[in-house]
Amino acid sequence: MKIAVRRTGGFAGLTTRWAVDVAQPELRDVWMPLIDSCPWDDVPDDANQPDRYVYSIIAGEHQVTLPERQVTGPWRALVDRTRDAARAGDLGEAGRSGPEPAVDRDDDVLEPERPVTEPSRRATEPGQRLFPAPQDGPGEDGR
Amino acid sequence: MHCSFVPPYLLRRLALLEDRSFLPVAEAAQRALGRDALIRRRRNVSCARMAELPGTLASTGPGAAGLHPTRQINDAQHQERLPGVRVRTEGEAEVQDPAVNEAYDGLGHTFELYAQAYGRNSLDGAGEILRATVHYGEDYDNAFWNGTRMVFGDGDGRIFQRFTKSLSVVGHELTHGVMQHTANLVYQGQPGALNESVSDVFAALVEQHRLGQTAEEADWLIGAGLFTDEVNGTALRSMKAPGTAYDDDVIGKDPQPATMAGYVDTRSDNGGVHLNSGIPNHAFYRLAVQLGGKAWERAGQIWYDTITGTLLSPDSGFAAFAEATAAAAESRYGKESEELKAVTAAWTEVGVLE
Repeated sequence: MKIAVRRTGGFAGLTTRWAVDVAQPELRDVWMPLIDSCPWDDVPDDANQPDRYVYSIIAGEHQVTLPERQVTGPWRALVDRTRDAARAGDLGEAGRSGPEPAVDRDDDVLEPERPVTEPSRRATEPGQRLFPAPQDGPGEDGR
Repeated sequence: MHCSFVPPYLLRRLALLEDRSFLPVAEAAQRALGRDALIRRRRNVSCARMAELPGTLASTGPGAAGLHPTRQINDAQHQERLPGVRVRTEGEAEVQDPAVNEAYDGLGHTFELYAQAYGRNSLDGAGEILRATVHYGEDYDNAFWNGTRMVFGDGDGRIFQRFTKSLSVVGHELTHGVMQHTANLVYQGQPGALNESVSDVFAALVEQHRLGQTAEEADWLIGAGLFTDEVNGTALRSMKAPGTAYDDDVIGKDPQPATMAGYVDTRSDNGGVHLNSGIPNHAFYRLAVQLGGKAWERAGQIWYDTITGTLLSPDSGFAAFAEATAAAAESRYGKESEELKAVTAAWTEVGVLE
């Protein structure tokens, strides 16, 4: 199954993609429980905050576009896992990077576009969790 | 002192005053009418008006026009939880952390532009506290406005350095706060690209005001100094020449169009708000260099009048915005003014007006 994340927007307006193609038994044992825990059909129509990211996520037949502040809980876990696996694939350790911008099937492709996979300049090692557990959310400022 | 007894019809009449000697009153009335209930609830017309009368403007310092910022800087300590720990408040001395001091100073410089050039008292025109959080997340390559505060990441160190390093980022994010209290353009498609562009316009003006630069002297770059040395680029965006800010083998080439011929239809990035903003950005640049001198004075005033006026709606597109800027120029400078001619010419050059 092809699983891909495309992150657009942000102050810089840069696009970044992470994609993996996952085979059994890893798909059944590791990925499907996570994919099934995401509320694909229950996405609130929530306006984005200025300069925050927009995430397009695809997993098999599932597809969704979310503002950054909705990417919490299982969504965040899926995004982080996809990114980490794609980066690991770049090093030939596990999984592999998707050769195509899979998330673009229902979107307009921007030209020129960033590379399909993560830039080679690395600050962290594959598999390392890059972000803390999601704690952000509406009312985050207590106001 | 409460001024809620001033009836809306009177505010409307005051807002329409064209005699320039009444302009501060008209502006205060326009803002008092506001677009959202928040402004109507908060604004104290007479207080704002007294603070904004010409002649009370000091020449330098955040306290110009008798207005003083109230700043609060918090540290998210690399978590994604807001607001974080308070680390510096108004009047407190510099701290060790450069990100904190950059945010504090940037808030002050942005407050100064709005206070000195336009007599505006903070984001809401009524002295709202300026709030910022630094060190958000880990390797976070972004800065944003969450509706009540600016939030800055430290960058990943490979592509981006910390986002407080550029004053234009601070000016940009705070202007999203001003926008929220004025025209409140929706963050999607053309109104979203205008929302973005207005933030870039006043970000550039904050820097130029700080440096005392004319339109000719300014670099018209947004986010200069954010890239690491590894990236082949000078900034994130160029208002002077959209599409030329960077050209790098890893992050690609600056995709911004300068004219409608390059308009991008996309669903990414809230409908390309950071892409198509290049078009109104370039229109403002053309206007500023055509008028010459300090861009915040006439070009900036026209844009400020536009977002605080009554002609825009939250879903206004490029053409409606262009027409509103022309109306603002005519209202302030006259039907035969060089300002109105330059506004019309600028929008024509980028293909928005014919």
